[in-house]
Amino acid sequence: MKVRVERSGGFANVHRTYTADAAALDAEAAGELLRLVEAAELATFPENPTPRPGMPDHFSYHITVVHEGSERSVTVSEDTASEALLRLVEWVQRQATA
Amino acid sequence: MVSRFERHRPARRTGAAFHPVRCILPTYMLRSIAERGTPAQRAQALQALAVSERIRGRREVLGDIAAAAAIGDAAERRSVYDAGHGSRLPGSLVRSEGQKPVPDVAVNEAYDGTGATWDLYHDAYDRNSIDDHGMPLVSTVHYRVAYDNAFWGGSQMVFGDGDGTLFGRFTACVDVIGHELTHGVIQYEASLEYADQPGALNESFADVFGSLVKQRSLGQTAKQADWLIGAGLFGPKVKGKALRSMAAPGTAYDDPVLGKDPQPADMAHYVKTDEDNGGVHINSGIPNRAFYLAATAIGGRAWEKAGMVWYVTLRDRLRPGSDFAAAADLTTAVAGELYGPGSTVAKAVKAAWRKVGVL
Repeated sequence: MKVRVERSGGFANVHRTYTADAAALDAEAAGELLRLVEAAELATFPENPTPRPGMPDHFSYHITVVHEGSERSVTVSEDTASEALLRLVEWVQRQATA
Repeated sequence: MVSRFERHRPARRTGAAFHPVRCILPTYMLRSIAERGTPAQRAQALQALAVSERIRGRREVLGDIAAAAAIGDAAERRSVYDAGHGSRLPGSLVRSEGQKPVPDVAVNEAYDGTGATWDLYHDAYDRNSIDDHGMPLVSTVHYRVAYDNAFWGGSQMVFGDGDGTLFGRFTACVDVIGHELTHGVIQYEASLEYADQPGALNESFADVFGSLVKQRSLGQTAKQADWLIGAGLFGPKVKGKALRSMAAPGTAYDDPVLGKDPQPADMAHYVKTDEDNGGVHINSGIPNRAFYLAATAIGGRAWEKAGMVWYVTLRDRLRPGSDFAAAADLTTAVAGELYGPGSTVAKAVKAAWRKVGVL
Protein backbone atom coordinates (compact mmCIF):
# COMPACT_ATOMS: atom_id res chain seq x y z
CA MET A 1 0.00 0.00 0.00
CA LYS A 2 1.15 3.50 -0.90
CA VAL A 3 -0.28 6.72 0.46
CA ARG A 4 0.52 10.08 -1.11
CA VAL A 5 -0.49 13.32 0.62
CA GLU A 6 -0.36 16.50 -1.44
CA ARG A 7 -0.83 19.59 0.70
CA SER A 8 -1.68 23.04 -0.66
CA GLY A 9 -3.20 26.26 0.67
CA GLY A 10 -2.63 27.43 4.21
CA PHE A 11 -1.18 30.81 5.13
CA ALA A 12 1.97 30.02 3.13
CA ASN A 13 0.28 28.37 0.13
CA VAL A 14 3.31 26.26 -0.73
CA HIS A 15 2.82 22.78 -2.21
CA ARG A 16 4.24 19.82 -0.34
CA THR A 17 3.99 16.13 -1.19
CA TYR A 18 4.58 13.38 1.36
CA THR A 19 4.54 9.66 0.53
CA ALA A 20 4.46 6.54 2.68
CA ASP A 21 5.02 3.10 1.11
CA ALA A 22 4.17 0.09 3.27
CA ALA A 23 6.71 -2.00 1.34
CA ALA A 24 9.49 0.29 2.51
CA LEU A 25 8.34 0.35 6.16
CA ASP A 26 9.00 -2.13 8.94
CA ALA A 27 6.14 -4.46 9.83
CA GLU A 28 4.95 -2.37 12.76
CA ALA A 29 4.85 0.88 10.81
CA ALA A 30 3.24 -0.81 7.80
CA GLY A 31 0.52 -2.18 10.11
CA GLU A 32 -0.02 1.31 11.57
CA LEU A 33 -0.37 2.80 8.06
CA LEU A 34 -2.99 0.18 7.17
CA ARG A 35 -4.91 0.88 10.41
CA LEU A 36 -4.81 4.66 9.81
CA VAL A 37 -6.06 4.27 6.22
CA GLU A 38 -8.91 2.01 7.34
CA ALA A 39 -9.84 4.42 10.15
CA ALA A 40 -9.86 7.37 7.72
CA GLU A 41 -12.72 5.69 5.78
CA LEU A 42 -11.70 7.28 2.50
CA ALA A 43 -14.51 5.47 0.70
CA THR A 44 -17.01 7.78 2.41
CA PHE A 45 -15.40 10.94 0.99
CA PRO A 46 -16.55 12.36 -2.33
CA GLU A 47 -13.82 12.47 -4.96
CA ASN A 48 -14.66 16.06 -5.82
CA PRO A 49 -12.87 18.89 -4.08
CA THR A 50 -14.41 20.65 -1.13
CA PRO A 51 -16.77 23.26 -2.57
CA ARG A 52 -15.53 26.84 -2.71
CA PRO A 53 -15.40 29.35 -1.17
CA GLY A 54 -13.15 27.90 1.49
CA MET A 55 -12.07 29.05 4.95
CA PRO A 56 -9.19 31.54 5.05
CA ASP A 57 -5.73 29.98 5.21
CA HIS A 58 -6.86 26.41 5.77
CA PHE A 59 -4.91 23.55 4.21
CA SER A 60 -6.29 21.54 1.33
CA TYR A 61 -5.24 17.88 1.08
CA HIS A 62 -5.26 15.67 -1.99
CA ILE A 63 -4.80 12.12 -0.71
CA THR A 64 -4.16 9.14 -2.97
CA VAL A 65 -4.17 5.56 -1.73
CA VAL A 66 -2.83 2.81 -4.01
CA HIS A 67 -3.66 -0.66 -2.75
CA GLU A 68 -3.61 -4.01 -4.56
CA GLY A 69 -3.82 -2.44 -8.00
CA SER A 70 -6.67 -0.05 -7.21
CA GLU A 71 -6.30 3.66 -6.61
CA ARG A 72 -8.49 6.18 -4.87
CA SER A 73 -8.01 9.93 -4.45
CA VAL A 74 -9.90 12.43 -2.36
CA THR A 75 -9.51 16.19 -2.03
CA VAL A 76 -10.55 17.68 1.28
CA SER A 77 -10.11 20.94 3.18
CA GLU A 78 -8.81 20.54 6.71
CA ASP A 79 -11.86 22.21 8.23
CA THR A 80 -14.13 19.54 6.74
CA ALA A 81 -11.76 16.58 7.19
CA SER A 82 -12.36 14.05 9.95
CA GLU A 83 -9.88 13.74 12.79
CA ALA A 84 -9.06 10.21 11.57
CA LEU A 85 -8.11 11.55 8.13
CA LEU A 86 -5.97 14.30 9.66
CA ARG A 87 -4.21 11.69 11.78
CA LEU A 88 -3.33 9.78 8.60
CA VAL A 89 -2.04 12.99 7.00
CA GLU A 90 0.06 13.84 10.05
CA TRP A 91 1.49 10.31 10.24
CA VAL A 92 2.47 10.20 6.55
CA GLN A 93 4.11 13.62 6.87
CA ARG A 94 6.06 12.48 9.94
CA GLN A 95 7.21 9.24 8.26
CA ALA A 96 8.26 11.09 5.12
CA THR A 97 10.29 13.71 6.97
CA ALA A 98 11.75 11.43 9.68
CA MET B 1 -24.30 37.55 6.13
CA VAL B 2 -27.10 39.97 5.28
CA SER B 3 -28.24 40.21 8.89
CA ARG B 4 -24.67 40.88 9.92
CA PHE B 5 -24.58 43.86 7.59
CA GLU B 6 -27.86 45.19 8.84
CA ARG B 7 -26.78 44.87 12.42
CA HIS B 8 -23.61 46.80 11.81
CA ARG B 9 -24.42 49.35 9.15
CA PRO B 10 -26.74 51.78 10.95
CA ALA B 11 -24.17 52.43 13.68
CA ARG B 12 -21.35 53.00 11.23
CA ARG B 13 -19.36 56.15 11.29
CA THR B 14 -18.06 57.47 8.03
CA GLY B 15 -14.50 58.47 7.54
CA ALA B 16 -12.27 59.51 10.38
CA ALA B 17 -15.06 61.07 12.47
CA PHE B 18 -14.42 61.40 16.19
CA HIS B 19 -16.84 61.22 19.05
CA PRO B 20 -17.77 64.73 20.27
CA VAL B 21 -16.71 64.02 23.84
CA ARG B 22 -13.17 63.45 22.65
CA CYS B 23 -12.80 66.84 21.06
CA ILE B 24 -14.65 69.15 23.43
CA LEU B 25 -13.92 68.15 27.00
CA PRO B 26 -10.75 69.17 28.80
CA THR B 27 -8.49 66.46 30.16
CA TYR B 28 -9.39 66.99 33.84
CA MET B 29 -13.06 66.49 33.04
CA LEU B 30 -12.33 63.38 30.98
CA ARG B 31 -10.40 61.96 33.94
CA SER B 32 -13.33 62.63 36.22
CA ILE B 33 -15.70 60.88 33.79
CA ALA B 34 -13.25 58.03 33.40
CA GLU B 35 -13.32 57.52 37.14
CA ARG B 36 -16.98 58.14 37.96
CA GLY B 37 -19.13 57.97 34.80
CA THR B 38 -21.35 55.18 33.51
CA PRO B 39 -19.51 52.38 31.67
CA ALA B 40 -20.34 53.91 28.29
CA GLN B 41 -19.23 57.38 29.39
CA ARG B 42 -16.05 55.94 30.87
CA ALA B 43 -15.29 54.11 27.64
CA GLN B 44 -15.66 57.29 25.62
CA ALA B 45 -13.68 59.34 28.08
CA LEU B 46 -10.91 56.76 28.18
CA GLN B 47 -10.74 56.69 24.40
CA ALA B 48 -10.54 60.46 24.36
CA LEU B 49 -7.85 60.38 27.03
CA ALA B 50 -5.98 57.73 25.10
CA VAL B 51 -5.76 60.12 22.20
CA SER B 52 -4.77 63.17 24.21
CA GLU B 53 -2.37 61.30 26.48
CA ARG B 54 -0.70 59.75 23.48
CA ILE B 55 -0.29 63.15 21.92
CA ARG B 56 1.45 64.32 25.05
CA GLY B 57 3.55 61.14 25.22
CA ARG B 58 2.27 60.25 28.67
CA ARG B 59 0.54 56.97 28.12
CA GLU B 60 1.54 55.62 31.53
CA VAL B 61 -0.76 58.17 33.18
CA LEU B 62 -3.69 56.72 31.29
CA GLY B 63 -2.72 53.21 32.38
CA ASP B 64 -3.41 54.11 36.01
CA ILE B 65 -6.75 55.69 35.24
CA ALA B 66 -7.83 52.78 33.05
CA ALA B 67 -6.98 50.37 35.85
CA ALA B 68 -8.79 52.53 38.42
CA ALA B 69 -11.89 52.78 36.24
CA ALA B 70 -11.87 48.99 35.62
CA ILE B 71 -13.43 49.54 32.26
CA GLY B 72 -15.07 46.70 30.35
CA ASP B 73 -15.44 48.28 26.95
CA ALA B 74 -12.67 49.11 24.49
CA ALA B 75 -10.12 47.19 26.50
CA GLU B 76 -8.03 44.30 25.31
CA ARG B 77 -9.08 40.94 26.62
CA ARG B 78 -6.48 38.44 25.50
CA SER B 79 -6.15 34.82 26.47
CA VAL B 80 -3.67 32.26 25.17
CA TYR B 81 -4.28 28.51 25.31
CA ASP B 82 -1.97 25.56 24.75
CA ALA B 83 -3.26 22.66 22.62
CA GLY B 84 -0.33 20.49 23.77
CA HIS B 85 0.24 19.33 20.16
CA GLY B 86 -3.30 17.98 20.02
CA SER B 87 -6.24 19.13 17.93
CA ARG B 88 -8.76 20.04 20.62
CA LEU B 89 -9.54 23.75 20.76
CA PRO B 90 -8.97 25.94 22.62
CA GLY B 91 -6.81 23.69 24.89
CA SER B 92 -5.68 24.73 28.37
CA LEU B 93 -5.45 28.35 29.43
CA VAL B 94 -1.85 29.45 29.98
CA ARG B 95 -1.95 33.26 29.99
CA SER B 96 -4.75 35.81 30.44
CA GLU B 97 -4.93 39.57 30.03
CA GLY B 98 -2.66 41.40 32.42
CA GLN B 99 -0.69 38.33 33.49
CA LYS B 100 3.09 38.27 33.36
CA PRO B 101 5.02 36.52 30.57
CA VAL B 102 5.40 32.76 30.92
CA PRO B 103 8.50 30.65 30.05
CA ASP B 104 6.88 29.45 26.78
CA VAL B 105 7.94 31.95 24.09
CA ALA B 106 5.12 30.97 21.69
CA VAL B 107 2.55 31.92 24.34
CA ASN B 108 4.13 35.33 24.84
CA GLU B 109 4.45 35.95 21.11
CA ALA B 110 0.75 35.19 20.62
CA TYR B 111 -0.12 37.46 23.56
CA ASP B 112 2.03 40.33 22.31
CA GLY B 113 1.09 39.91 18.64
CA THR B 114 -2.65 39.88 19.28
CA GLY B 115 -2.07 42.93 21.49
CA ALA B 116 -0.18 44.79 18.75
CA THR B 117 -3.03 43.99 16.33
CA TRP B 118 -5.69 45.15 18.79
CA ASP B 119 -3.69 48.37 19.31
CA LEU B 120 -3.47 49.15 15.58
CA TYR B 121 -7.20 48.71 15.05
CA HIS B 122 -8.08 50.59 18.22
CA ASP B 123 -5.60 53.44 18.15
CA ALA B 124 -5.48 54.10 14.41
CA TYR B 125 -9.05 53.21 13.37
CA ASP B 126 -11.07 53.52 16.58
CA ARG B 127 -12.11 49.87 16.32
CA ASN B 128 -13.00 47.90 19.43
CA SER B 129 -11.49 44.49 18.63
CA ILE B 130 -12.23 42.09 15.77
CA ASP B 131 -16.00 42.57 15.77
CA ASP B 132 -15.88 46.24 16.91
CA HIS B 133 -17.85 45.08 19.94
CA GLY B 134 -15.01 44.14 22.25
CA MET B 135 -14.59 40.52 21.22
CA PRO B 136 -11.99 38.77 23.42
CA LEU B 137 -8.86 37.72 21.54
CA VAL B 138 -8.42 33.99 22.00
CA SER B 139 -5.30 32.24 20.70
CA THR B 140 -4.24 28.60 20.75
CA VAL B 141 -0.56 27.71 20.33
CA HIS B 142 1.13 24.32 19.81
CA TYR B 143 -1.75 23.10 17.62
CA ARG B 144 -1.17 19.55 16.33
CA VAL B 145 2.34 18.19 15.59
CA ALA B 146 4.79 20.04 13.32
CA TYR B 147 1.83 21.99 11.97
CA ASP B 148 2.96 24.35 9.18
CA ASN B 149 0.15 26.83 9.47
CA ALA B 150 -1.80 29.47 11.35
CA PHE B 151 -5.43 30.35 10.78
CA TRP B 152 -8.42 32.31 12.03
CA GLY B 153 -10.98 29.66 12.96
CA GLY B 154 -14.03 31.94 12.95
CA SER B 155 -13.82 32.87 16.62
CA GLN B 156 -10.19 32.34 17.60
CA MET B 157 -6.61 32.19 16.36
CA VAL B 158 -4.78 28.90 15.88
CA PHE B 159 -0.97 28.62 15.58
CA GLY B 160 1.26 25.70 14.65
CA ASP B 161 4.89 25.23 15.65
CA GLY B 162 6.03 24.54 12.07
CA ASP B 163 7.98 21.45 11.02
CA GLY B 164 11.26 23.02 12.15
CA THR B 165 12.86 22.57 8.72
CA LEU B 166 10.83 24.57 6.23
CA PHE B 167 8.90 26.62 8.73
CA GLY B 168 9.47 27.78 12.28
CA ARG B 169 6.85 28.94 14.81
CA PHE B 170 3.99 30.85 13.21
CA THR B 171 3.72 33.10 16.29
CA ALA B 172 7.23 34.43 15.60
CA CYS B 173 5.97 36.95 13.02
CA VAL B 174 3.70 39.72 14.22
CA ASP B 175 2.51 40.31 10.64
CA VAL B 176 1.28 36.70 10.48
CA ILE B 177 -0.75 37.33 13.64
CA GLY B 178 -2.08 40.61 12.25
CA HIS B 179 -2.92 38.85 8.97
CA GLU B 180 -4.93 36.12 10.66
CA LEU B 181 -6.84 38.45 12.99
CA THR B 182 -7.68 40.62 9.99
CA HIS B 183 -9.45 37.62 8.46
CA GLY B 184 -11.65 37.96 11.54
CA VAL B 185 -12.23 41.68 10.92
CA ILE B 186 -13.11 40.90 7.28
CA GLN B 187 -15.56 38.25 8.46
CA TYR B 188 -17.41 40.95 10.44
CA GLU B 189 -17.18 43.64 7.75
CA ALA B 190 -16.98 43.16 3.97
CA SER B 191 -17.21 39.37 4.37
CA LEU B 192 -15.28 38.94 1.12
CA GLU B 193 -15.96 35.52 -0.41
CA TYR B 194 -12.89 33.32 -0.14
CA ALA B 195 -12.50 32.55 -3.84
CA ASP B 196 -11.23 34.23 -7.00
CA GLN B 197 -10.88 38.05 -6.93
CA PRO B 198 -12.95 38.65 -3.76
CA GLY B 199 -10.83 35.95 -2.11
CA ALA B 200 -7.60 37.54 -3.33
CA LEU B 201 -8.84 40.85 -1.88
CA ASN B 202 -9.57 39.02 1.39
CA GLU B 203 -5.97 37.78 1.42
CA SER B 204 -4.60 41.17 0.38
CA PHE B 205 -6.41 43.12 3.11
CA ALA B 206 -5.11 40.54 5.60
CA ASP B 207 -1.55 41.13 4.32
CA VAL B 208 -1.99 44.92 4.30
CA PHE B 209 -3.10 45.14 7.93
CA GLY B 210 -0.67 42.39 8.96
CA SER B 211 2.16 44.48 7.53
CA LEU B 212 0.76 47.63 9.16
CA VAL B 213 0.71 45.90 12.57
CA LYS B 214 4.40 45.14 12.08
CA GLN B 215 5.28 48.60 10.77
CA ARG B 216 3.48 50.30 13.65
CA SER B 217 5.03 48.05 16.29
CA LEU B 218 8.47 48.88 14.84
CA GLY B 219 7.64 52.57 14.42
CA GLN B 220 8.53 52.46 10.72
CA THR B 221 7.59 54.82 7.93
CA ALA B 222 6.43 53.42 4.56
CA LYS B 223 9.95 54.03 3.24
CA GLN B 224 11.64 52.17 6.11
CA ALA B 225 9.32 49.13 6.07
CA ASP B 226 10.41 45.87 4.40
CA TRP B 227 6.88 45.23 3.03
CA LEU B 228 7.45 41.50 3.46
CA ILE B 229 4.93 39.02 4.84
CA GLY B 230 6.32 36.27 7.06
CA ALA B 231 9.95 37.43 7.17
CA GLY B 232 11.73 35.08 9.58
CA LEU B 233 9.19 32.28 9.22
CA PHE B 234 11.32 30.08 6.95
CA GLY B 235 13.83 27.60 8.31
CA PRO B 236 17.52 28.53 7.92
CA LYS B 237 18.08 26.41 4.77
CA VAL B 238 15.17 27.79 2.76
CA LYS B 239 16.19 30.11 -0.04
CA GLY B 240 13.91 33.07 0.47
CA LYS B 241 13.43 36.11 2.65
CA ALA B 242 9.70 35.77 3.29
CA LEU B 243 6.47 34.26 1.97
CA ARG B 244 5.29 37.30 0.08
CA SER B 245 6.63 40.67 -0.95
CA MET B 246 4.12 43.49 -1.22
CA ALA B 247 6.68 45.76 -2.90
CA ALA B 248 7.84 43.16 -5.44
CA PRO B 249 5.36 40.28 -5.65
CA GLY B 250 6.95 37.13 -7.10
CA THR B 251 10.39 37.74 -5.57
CA ALA B 252 9.97 36.59 -1.95
CA TYR B 253 11.46 33.10 -2.35
CA ASP B 254 12.94 30.72 -4.92
CA ASP B 255 13.76 27.40 -3.31
CA PRO B 256 14.38 23.86 -4.64
CA VAL B 257 11.82 22.36 -2.23
CA LEU B 258 9.22 25.12 -1.99
CA GLY B 259 9.43 26.32 -5.58
CA LYS B 260 9.27 29.95 -6.63
CA ASP B 261 7.03 32.70 -5.26
CA PRO B 262 4.08 32.56 -7.73
CA GLN B 263 2.64 36.04 -7.14
CA PRO B 264 2.01 38.38 -10.08
CA ALA B 265 2.80 42.10 -9.69
CA ASP B 266 0.16 43.36 -12.15
CA MET B 267 -3.01 42.40 -14.03
CA ALA B 268 -1.07 41.43 -17.17
CA HIS B 269 0.27 38.47 -15.19
CA TYR B 270 -2.96 37.57 -13.36
CA VAL B 271 -2.94 33.80 -12.68
CA LYS B 272 -6.03 31.82 -13.68
CA THR B 273 -6.10 28.64 -11.61
CA ASP B 274 -8.52 26.31 -9.84
CA GLU B 275 -6.05 25.73 -7.04
CA ASP B 276 -5.90 27.78 -3.85
CA ASN B 277 -9.59 28.72 -4.17
CA GLY B 278 -8.84 30.35 -7.50
CA GLY B 279 -5.40 31.68 -6.56
CA VAL B 280 -6.39 33.77 -3.53
CA HIS B 281 -2.81 33.72 -2.15
CA ILE B 282 -1.38 34.25 -5.64
CA ASN B 283 -3.31 37.13 -7.21
CA SER B 284 -3.37 38.98 -3.88
CA GLY B 285 0.07 40.20 -5.05
CA ILE B 286 -1.68 42.69 -7.35
CA PRO B 287 -3.74 44.59 -4.72
CA ASN B 288 -0.84 44.18 -2.25
CA ARG B 289 1.43 46.08 -4.60
CA ALA B 290 -1.26 48.71 -5.17
CA PHE B 291 -1.30 49.38 -1.42
CA TYR B 292 2.50 49.51 -1.28
CA LEU B 293 2.64 51.96 -4.21
CA ALA B 294 -0.06 54.20 -2.70
CA ALA B 295 1.48 54.16 0.79
CA THR B 296 5.02 54.92 -0.39
CA ALA B 297 3.78 57.69 -2.73
CA ILE B 298 1.85 59.29 0.16
CA GLY B 299 4.85 58.89 2.47
CA GLY B 300 5.00 58.96 6.26
CA ARG B 301 3.47 56.21 8.34
CA ALA B 302 1.49 53.86 6.12
CA TRP B 303 -1.22 53.03 8.66
CA GLU B 304 -2.26 56.66 8.99
CA LYS B 305 -3.51 57.73 5.55
CA ALA B 306 -3.23 54.77 3.15
CA GLY B 307 -4.25 52.43 6.00
CA MET B 308 -7.24 54.64 6.89
CA VAL B 309 -8.44 54.62 3.26
CA TRP B 310 -8.15 50.82 3.06
CA TYR B 311 -9.78 50.37 6.49
CA VAL B 312 -12.80 52.58 5.77
CA THR B 313 -13.21 50.87 2.38
CA LEU B 314 -13.16 47.46 4.04
CA ARG B 315 -15.53 48.54 6.80
CA ASP B 316 -18.10 50.53 4.83
CA ARG B 317 -17.86 49.93 1.10
CA LEU B 318 -16.68 46.52 -0.02
CA ARG B 319 -19.24 43.74 -0.39
CA PRO B 320 -18.80 39.93 -0.35
CA GLY B 321 -18.51 39.74 -4.14
CA SER B 322 -16.34 42.83 -4.73
CA ASP B 323 -13.57 42.38 -7.31
CA PHE B 324 -10.28 44.25 -7.90
CA ALA B 325 -11.95 46.94 -10.02
CA ALA B 326 -14.48 47.61 -7.24
CA ALA B 327 -11.69 47.84 -4.67
CA ALA B 328 -9.82 50.31 -6.91
CA ASP B 329 -12.92 52.49 -7.43
CA LEU B 330 -13.95 52.36 -3.79
CA THR B 331 -10.53 53.12 -2.29
CA THR B 332 -10.15 56.02 -4.74
CA ALA B 333 -13.60 57.34 -3.77
CA VAL B 334 -12.91 56.95 -0.03
CA ALA B 335 -9.53 58.68 -0.39
CA GLY B 336 -11.34 61.58 -2.08
CA GLU B 337 -13.96 61.77 0.66
CA LEU B 338 -11.45 61.62 3.50
CA TYR B 339 -8.69 63.81 2.12
CA GLY B 340 -10.24 65.65 -0.86
CA PRO B 341 -10.64 64.49 -4.48
CA GLY B 342 -7.59 66.49 -5.59
CA SER B 343 -5.47 65.49 -2.60
CA THR B 344 -2.09 63.76 -2.75
CA VAL B 345 -3.71 60.75 -1.10
CA ALA B 346 -6.53 60.40 -3.64
CA LYS B 347 -4.12 60.87 -6.54
CA ALA B 348 -1.66 58.33 -5.10
CA VAL B 349 -4.37 55.71 -4.62
CA LYS B 350 -5.66 56.09 -8.17
CA ALA B 351 -2.15 56.07 -9.65
CA ALA B 352 -1.30 52.91 -7.70
CA TRP B 353 -4.26 50.96 -9.12
CA ARG B 354 -3.37 52.23 -12.59
CA LYS B 355 0.21 51.08 -12.24
CA VAL B 356 -0.85 47.50 -11.40
CA GLY B 357 -3.25 47.56 -14.35
CA VAL B 358 -6.55 47.39 -12.46
CA LEU B 359 -7.71 50.87 -13.50
